[in-house]
Amino acid sequence: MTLRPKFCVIGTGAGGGILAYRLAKAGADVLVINSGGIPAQSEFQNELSPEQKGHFEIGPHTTFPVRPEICIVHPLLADARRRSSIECPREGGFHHYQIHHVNGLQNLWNGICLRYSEDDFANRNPYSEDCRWPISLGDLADHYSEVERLALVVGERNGLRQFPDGSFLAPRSARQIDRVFIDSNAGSLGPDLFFLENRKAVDLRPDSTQKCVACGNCGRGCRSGSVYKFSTHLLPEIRALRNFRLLEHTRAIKLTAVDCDNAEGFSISHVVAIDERAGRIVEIEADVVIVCAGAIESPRLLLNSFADDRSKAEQVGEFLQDSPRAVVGTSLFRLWFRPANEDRGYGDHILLGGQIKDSQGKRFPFVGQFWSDFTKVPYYLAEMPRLPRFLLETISRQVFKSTATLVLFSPAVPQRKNKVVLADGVDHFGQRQVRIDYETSEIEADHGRRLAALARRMLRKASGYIADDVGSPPGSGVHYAGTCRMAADPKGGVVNKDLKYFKSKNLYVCDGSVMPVLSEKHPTLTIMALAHRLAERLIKTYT
Amino acid sequence: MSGHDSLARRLCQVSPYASRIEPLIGLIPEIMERNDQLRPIWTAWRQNATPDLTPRQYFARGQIKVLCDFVEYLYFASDAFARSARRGR
Repeated sequence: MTLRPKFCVIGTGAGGGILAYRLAKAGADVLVINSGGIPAQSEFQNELSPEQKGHFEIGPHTTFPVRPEICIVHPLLADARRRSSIECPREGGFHHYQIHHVNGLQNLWNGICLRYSEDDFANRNPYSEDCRWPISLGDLADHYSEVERLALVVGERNGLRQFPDGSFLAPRSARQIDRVFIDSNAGSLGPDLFFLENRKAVDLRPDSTQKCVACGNCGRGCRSGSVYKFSTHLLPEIRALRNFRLLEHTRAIKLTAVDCDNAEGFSISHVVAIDERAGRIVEIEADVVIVCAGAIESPRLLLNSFADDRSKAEQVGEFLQDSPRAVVGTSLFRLWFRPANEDRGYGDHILLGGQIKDSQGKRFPFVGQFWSDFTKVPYYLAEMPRLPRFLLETISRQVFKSTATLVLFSPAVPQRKNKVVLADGVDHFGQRQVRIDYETSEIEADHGRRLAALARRMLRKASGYIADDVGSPPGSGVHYAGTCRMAADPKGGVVNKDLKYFKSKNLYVCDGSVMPVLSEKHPTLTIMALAHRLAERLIKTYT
Repeated sequence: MSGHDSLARRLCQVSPYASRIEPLIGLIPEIMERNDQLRPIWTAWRQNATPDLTPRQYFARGQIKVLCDFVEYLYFASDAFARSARRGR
């Protein structure tokens, strides 16, 4: 089967979803292909009890007693042995979370939407000399506003330089536990630390059929469909358009390149995909191909495609980054023996941000989210001393309703040696997997220790009876970036400032991989804004 | 009641929380099968050639500890516990 659309978009995550929507709305002939299908809403019934879910968050590698750790367990996550893009990660290695379904990782997105600041785009990160933004905040400002409106972002305008304001709808108000945390810490914060209302892509419109039901745990998949994702927010609007087509269960396995005579580089003549269910090959001849498969899968597709001519994939896969972070959890004693508050809102209502010093006395920026929900997974048991049953039960009841977690992020330190490279193993479909070489830098580790100490201090001030450093192994930040970084010239990256592949005349990349350096902020909104900007350029250029 | 349920019930008797997780007995074989640490215990228990032995007689101390932690975890992750903890103070 051969298809001949104008635009072929590969992937429907943060980049691909916005791009497909904007192109389709502009009347362009768009074909979108995606591995896997649209997940059933029943996959996201996070209010279902653990019993109903059946596995109690116990995965194959869970060990007892269960210690607090970052371990995302969800049926949608690709099984590393069967379907993953990467070889089985070694113990302590980079753990890549991956979802082969429409919406990609946004199926389990927590929804935080932060604009990058002028300082982020001005390349003030002292550790990122090889990775520099070739655009400014001004280039993206309007596109940020557009995607904030599409994603229904809530928040408050604060006038902070570090967190530029956006187009927000009204947020939910703080909960009792948020007030305890803020009141306990407000007086002790220096001028460089501040709280703000969280900015999240959560539908709070009272008349919406998918409005937030305040179940408190967006990051495990939104049960009401209120957290933005392509399939719930944008696809319904374009699905019936005659110029739009979505092929589910269709995985791109190769881009076929044809060398051009002129200086424009090569051209992609075909996207070769496989129908995952029927097993047959689908060929797509598109004028423009946009790869939006994510910061691991996109380089994998490019490396596989150009395995016989590596000059076409120079620098692809290098400078892999994930947001360094510290995660500290506790229970706030001040809430013990008070009635449980059923309003769990959207889990993390409060952000904190600012700058702190590293061990050398250099200041670095950070952002954090204060998260609280009923404790569905009793991690705390491992930390409890041996107690009589009635006492353990009494304490567990209090912990259950007073859990608080601080997640603090710092900027990444890009390193060329952190990279995605082709491996020998193949996946379920016979496509070569990749290996991830990744080492956390000493600077990132130092920042992590500083942030963990700050988090412990703040939680203790708020009556945290014990503060567990949950740890944050490489990959668990799930903010993957850098592997096809944008740059001002071909020496500095893989795509230009318009996200066009330097070596090709009709190939673009649009996902986390194009971000040259991760700041402390969550990257998703920036990926969405970049996609919106690219869509506008493609519409102007090709239609 | 299936044979597996009966085996699981006997296995869980090692924990003081055994009676609290009674409604979950049917889920236990599958959970143990899926988990790398629990699978050997479950497999050994299924192949127990001397059914008169109790888990405490059959397993080493370290394995009993793992089982106890597992059953305790199940109870505090269960619906029954969550429902009761949401109510009252």
